[in-house]
Amino acid sequence: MTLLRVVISRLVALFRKRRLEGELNEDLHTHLEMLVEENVRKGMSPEEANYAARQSFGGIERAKEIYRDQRSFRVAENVLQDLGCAIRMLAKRPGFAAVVVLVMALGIGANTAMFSVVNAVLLRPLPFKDPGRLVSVNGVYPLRMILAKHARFEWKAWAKGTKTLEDISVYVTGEVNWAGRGEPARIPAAEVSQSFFPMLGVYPLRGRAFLASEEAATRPDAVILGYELWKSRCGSDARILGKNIQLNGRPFTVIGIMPKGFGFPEKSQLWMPFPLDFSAQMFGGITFGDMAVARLRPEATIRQSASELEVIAKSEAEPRFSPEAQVIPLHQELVGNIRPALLLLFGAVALVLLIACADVANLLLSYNVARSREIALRAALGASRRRLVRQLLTESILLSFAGAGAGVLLGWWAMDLARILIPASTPLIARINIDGRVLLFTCGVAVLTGVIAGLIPALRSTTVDLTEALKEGGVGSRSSAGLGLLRLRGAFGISEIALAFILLTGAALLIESFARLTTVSPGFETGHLLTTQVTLLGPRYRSRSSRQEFYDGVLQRARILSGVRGVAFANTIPFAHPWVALLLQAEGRPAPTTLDMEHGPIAIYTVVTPDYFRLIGIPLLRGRLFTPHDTRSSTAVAVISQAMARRLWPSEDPIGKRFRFVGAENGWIQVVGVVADIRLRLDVAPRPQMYFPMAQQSQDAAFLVVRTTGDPSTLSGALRKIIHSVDQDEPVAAFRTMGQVMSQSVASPRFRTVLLGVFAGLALVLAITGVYGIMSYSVSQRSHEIGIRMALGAQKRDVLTLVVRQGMVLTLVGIGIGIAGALGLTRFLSGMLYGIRPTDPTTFALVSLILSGVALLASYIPARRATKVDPMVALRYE
Amino acid sequence: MNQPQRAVLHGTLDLMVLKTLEAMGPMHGFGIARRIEQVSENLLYLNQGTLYPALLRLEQKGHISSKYGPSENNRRARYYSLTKAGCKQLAREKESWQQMVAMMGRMLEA
Repeated sequence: MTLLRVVISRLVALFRKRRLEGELNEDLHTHLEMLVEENVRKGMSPEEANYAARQSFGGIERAKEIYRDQRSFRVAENVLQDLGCAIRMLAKRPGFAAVVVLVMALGIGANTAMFSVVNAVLLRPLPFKDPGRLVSVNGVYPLRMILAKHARFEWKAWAKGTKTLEDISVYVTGEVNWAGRGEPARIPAAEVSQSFFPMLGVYPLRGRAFLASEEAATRPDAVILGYELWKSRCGSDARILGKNIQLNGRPFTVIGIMPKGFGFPEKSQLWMPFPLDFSAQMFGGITFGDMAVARLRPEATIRQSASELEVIAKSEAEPRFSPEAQVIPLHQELVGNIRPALLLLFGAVALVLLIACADVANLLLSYNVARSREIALRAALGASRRRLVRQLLTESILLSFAGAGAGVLLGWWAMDLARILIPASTPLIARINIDGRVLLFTCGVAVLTGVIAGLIPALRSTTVDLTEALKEGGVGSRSSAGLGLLRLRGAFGISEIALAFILLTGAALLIESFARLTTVSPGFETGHLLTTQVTLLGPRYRSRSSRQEFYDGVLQRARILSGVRGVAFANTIPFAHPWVALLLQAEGRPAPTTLDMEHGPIAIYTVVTPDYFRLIGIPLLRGRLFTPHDTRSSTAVAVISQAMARRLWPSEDPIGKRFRFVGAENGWIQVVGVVADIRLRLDVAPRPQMYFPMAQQSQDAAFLVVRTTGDPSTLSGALRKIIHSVDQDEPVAAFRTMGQVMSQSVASPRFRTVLLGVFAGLALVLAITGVYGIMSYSVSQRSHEIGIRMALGAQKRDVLTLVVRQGMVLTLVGIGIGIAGALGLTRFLSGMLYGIRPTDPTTFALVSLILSGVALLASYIPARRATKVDPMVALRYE
Repeated sequence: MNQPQRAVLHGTLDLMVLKTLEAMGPMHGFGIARRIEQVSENLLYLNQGTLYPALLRLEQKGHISSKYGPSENNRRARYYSLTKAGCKQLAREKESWQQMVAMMGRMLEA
């Protein structure tokens, strides 16, 4: 209590120093006067009285010093004093301060924005109970991949047998159709087992979570709404609890509403019990299959858990394929894809900050040179070097904090940019924000930047030769110390160029790679294509014929719409996840016993209506395409891609050959045609693909694909009307052009390319400003020398060459070091490059050329100024 | 002065100041110094300047408070007075000091 009082009164004293100092002087003065008076009363002469008074008082200055130590915190007082001094010094040169703050703001702002992303996605723990022990359990269980809809995950066996996991909760994600309460819509949803919410430790804001009985029901009919969905679709009306809503044409009772911001897994907004009966599953088409999240026991490790699950799976699974189990920390599983890109960008932005530091160090050097007389004067008056360095560091840290303040504002804006660019599928991006941790980071960076940028200039500027510096005009630029200074500045310039080179090379590689990626021909005509998705589930679509009716109805009406060149349905379209690949057995050959994605008999399962090939523009190479005569009652047929033909029948004519799916009872399917390969992903070479007629392999979900004559986006309204005229409760997903679908498929490479490009641009600007600053300064310092040269007959050309050469030497050395650095660092990009090596010589050459070109310009401008030096003026300046 | 003067024993100045203020009521720094010297019958050598850090320390702890007032010669001077907390502190320290003295006494007599 007393201690607190003391601290507070000392802190208060910090800010009332002037007044308290006055009072101290007054009090001591009064005391002395009283002493003198008393002595005079005792009969001393005034001189004697004065002397005696001082003697009995003791050292006045010493008393004051002790008093001051007692009064406040001396260190803080000194810092405040330095700060005040720094503010006064910088206020005298607002232009200089503004430039430094701007450079710092760019560097720190970019770092702040990048850190806010890294913080939200990689650093902050998941918003669940004890998230460190949550793991994602993945069965690399081949059958699941082979026939997603018929193989169930081994989770029941695992849940029963595990001793390393507290619990396993299984879920599957997809979209469900919500009709009623506004336009029919497709809502991202998840079916979760009963332990899902308790395991995550997240409970409904209103209502309740699922009961075990609801999970056990053959046809679950309870649903929990996400907060955001509840707000947008129900107007935050709590009376929805206990009421029915129509999902996939079936009534569900709303039993709970989740808290704000909860959208796991996969940004779900509806949760339903995981149905034990497979046929009750709510999702049509191809899903990612069953996933599981589990809680690791405190004493168990991830590795133990994985091997335990494998043992359990082996004892349960079909022995033909070896089951494997993957146990991965949940956070890692969620952000694993984006992590390398984020770390790369974070590293890049740190380099930008280093360049900014070098820039600022250079500015500070010239600033300190300009005030070397003031520094020398302070030293002459007794300031220790330590004190001087501290004063100068205070200035640079003050500047970097001002930069950090501006940087946070810049970062706020840059954060929005990052939010737009970051692939929308990235988890956790909703929490990208400037929070306490980000601000702490920014403060740390500001201090670090201030010290890094300020230390060398401060040390350098305080080793002044007093007599030299105090002489009039003795700035020392022409002395050996001046040369050393130039060399130091040159070193800063070289490092800036080198760092900029590394960043530019990285950006150039990504840009080149992105350009190659987006100009890859996917093997079909992508223009004028419009797509959307429909799901046919619920009582109305239980039969095959009812689904066929829907597809036929839409095709017939859409075909005659003006502006439409062709329409088709397909269960899978290029660039839109997910797909399913099936393991095959060719007739006359044994069924495969291993799963080999690269060489084995595996192909991607595609079901289309007959017009699909002509519509998309996939050429037929041999045999025939589907016709309306391929029906349920005729022979089962398939059209296969060239890659599949090569994989299954490398040296034979595949037409007329038969194959079947492994693990399913389907009979033999006859190959009737071979079509050209297409890419389902731009960065992956075409994979074996097989096509089946929709009439023979009915689908409960499909993409509608429309080829238009004009701008495809203008037709979406009319097409939506057509779908609703066939089924008014059928929700239609947003229409996207094939261009948009492709663009979304390259969101990740675009994100890193654009951001690295921005950082490299920033680096270029900073580095070039640095070179320009060094050259201008050098020219101004050498004007005397240049004047002499010109007086001795040097031509403008000679002067120009002299200065430009100096700049170019700097640049070339920088580029040389940059090449070495880039060769070492660009290999971190290798996983992100398409069609280009990380050491691509053309890119390196191009970047060198650009950088030297710009540096040439940056030294040419000061060089031009040098040629305008009037020899008379320059010589008289001495 | 036949007996040699002693310097103030470390840590005792605060106690002396508190006791002085209790006995004399509000008093300025000069008066406190004078009083301490008088009571010690000039046996104590007080470096009067060191009184001020002590006064500040006591004030920061809340044991005394101060305000300006006119002195005997109508000079503006800072008058210090004991606070409630100061009274309690004085009582506590007095007791512990007496125990200390008694203990030292026994120690030396034994």
